[in-house]
Amino acid sequence: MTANPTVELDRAVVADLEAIMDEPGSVLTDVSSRANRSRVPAPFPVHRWAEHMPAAVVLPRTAEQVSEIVKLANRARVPVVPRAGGTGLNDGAVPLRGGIVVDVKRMNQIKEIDMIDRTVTVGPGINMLKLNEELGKYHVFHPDTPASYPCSLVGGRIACSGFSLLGSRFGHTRDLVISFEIVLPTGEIIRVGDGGGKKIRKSSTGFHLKHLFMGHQGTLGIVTEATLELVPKPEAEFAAFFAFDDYLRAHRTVHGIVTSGIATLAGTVIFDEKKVEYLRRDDEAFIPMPPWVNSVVATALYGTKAEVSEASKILMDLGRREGGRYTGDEMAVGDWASRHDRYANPLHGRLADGSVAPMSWHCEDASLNWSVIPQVREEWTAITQKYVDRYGIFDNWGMYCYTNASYKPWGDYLVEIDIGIWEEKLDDEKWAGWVDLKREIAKVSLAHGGSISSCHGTTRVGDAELVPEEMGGGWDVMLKIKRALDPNNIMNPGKQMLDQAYE
Amino acid sequence: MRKFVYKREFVRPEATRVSDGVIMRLDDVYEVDPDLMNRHFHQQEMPRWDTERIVASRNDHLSWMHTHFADETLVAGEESELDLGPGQPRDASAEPQ
Repeated sequence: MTANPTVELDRAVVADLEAIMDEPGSVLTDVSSRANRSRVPAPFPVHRWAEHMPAAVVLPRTAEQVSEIVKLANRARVPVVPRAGGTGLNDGAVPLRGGIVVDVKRMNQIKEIDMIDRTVTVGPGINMLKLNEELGKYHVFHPDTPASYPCSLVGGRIACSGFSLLGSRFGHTRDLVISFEIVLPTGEIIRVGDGGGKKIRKSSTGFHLKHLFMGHQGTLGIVTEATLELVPKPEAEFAAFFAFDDYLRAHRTVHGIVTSGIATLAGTVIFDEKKVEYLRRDDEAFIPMPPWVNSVVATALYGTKAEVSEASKILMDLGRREGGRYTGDEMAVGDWASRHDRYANPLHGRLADGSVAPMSWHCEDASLNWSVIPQVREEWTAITQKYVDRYGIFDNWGMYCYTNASYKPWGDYLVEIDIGIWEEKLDDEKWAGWVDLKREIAKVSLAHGGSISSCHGTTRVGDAELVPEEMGGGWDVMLKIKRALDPNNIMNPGKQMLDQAYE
Repeated sequence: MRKFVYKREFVRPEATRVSDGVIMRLDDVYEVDPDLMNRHFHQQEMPRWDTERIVASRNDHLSWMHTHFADETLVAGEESELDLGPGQPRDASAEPQ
């Protein structure tokens, strides 16, 4: 592993930042403030922590302040790394070259709730749970519900082009953000949507710039405001889990459910054998499932009570058609609620001898078509086992597959494999092993016609070097866009091979 | 109000084994077998009241999550079928078309 050249800040630049912010406590240079903003939950090379420390953290309140910070960074040629909740499962918010972290948590206002045209306009630092608490007073909600629902922020959701647990019913982040304001890498403040119009959901004017900046991973600017979708708060929810002794039956069951035409179907999930094993041994959602259970299908409906009530009968029938056994009301209610909050997972795993070791959580994701999931599952599991055996610091926590398409539950799936990592044991050799593991998994996704990531992003080494292969001829277009918008490469440099734009 | 009885709150109940690597001291509160936690780190000694507080807090949170997302949570109203063993695929050709 080569050391990244980090950029320190001149005292004069810090003074300029303080002049821009003009508020005590809004420019932080102490070690703890910087260290706390140097990593995310994704595995981190803790043995090289010092190389990921930003030189300063700023906490702006306005788009104008963000613009001035970015202009200053251009003049001083200092990297800028945007950071929202810092809950990402790739390293979009991790500084690779030091510089200034722009933490948007103070930009957390609800600016307007428009019950006529059904939008809410917010700052990027607001969390969806807190937003929906307020929206609940109007009996509407913003249905962007990731596994990090209680802790991730709107700015990060846009930066990652996030996945929502209820996306098959209500859409994902890209569908639920109508337009947003972004400070470009050169400091200009623009608004992007489908076309123009802050609250217009569909347009044919110009290029669809919202989609260019959606999933930018902090490499094309800093989001400073977003106008979001409002939907009626559902009258009813219904969840059901079915257990199987055979993964392929679970897999076929999902196909039957998602192609049934149930309009209130919000999401369907498959848990594989390793995931069931993990739930039995280490997860908070431990349920004493009998030994014959090797896969589980979870489903959920949202809508009016009349719709959900009738559809639930169809769902109960479809769940059993391939031999699924209903796991009972208690698991349906308890485990479904915990799907909205998967960051409350245990921070330990198992070594080969069964002993418990402290481990952090890594979740490797991909978008894959339904037809290839069984084969990919076999290949990913075999790859992971190879690295578990070789290094002794990893643990396979199993796989999930979530319905991935917006407004329709069929076709492709967010496929994830959870892996525990004993970070304290990392050194250059083991970190390189970890990166190799990621790369092998990503290659399998590409070989099966998939995409390396559904919602985490591909900024980190292991994924990043395969992005040109996935993008094909589009990669060169990406480089041209990056260079045109960020001529000095100050916006989150070092990510996703985009440095090639400057070679 | 629940009476705080020191002995009850601080003495952890005897464990019963649930599976090879899991024990249970309180109803529906599962713990990794402490015997597996004596090499790299040890299980924290936690009084009963604190365990119950954490579990209740989590359950409150999950209950709240339901009302947060929908006005009403519907259930199938059926018992777990797990004790029946694995099911068999239904013969689709035998079903009315």
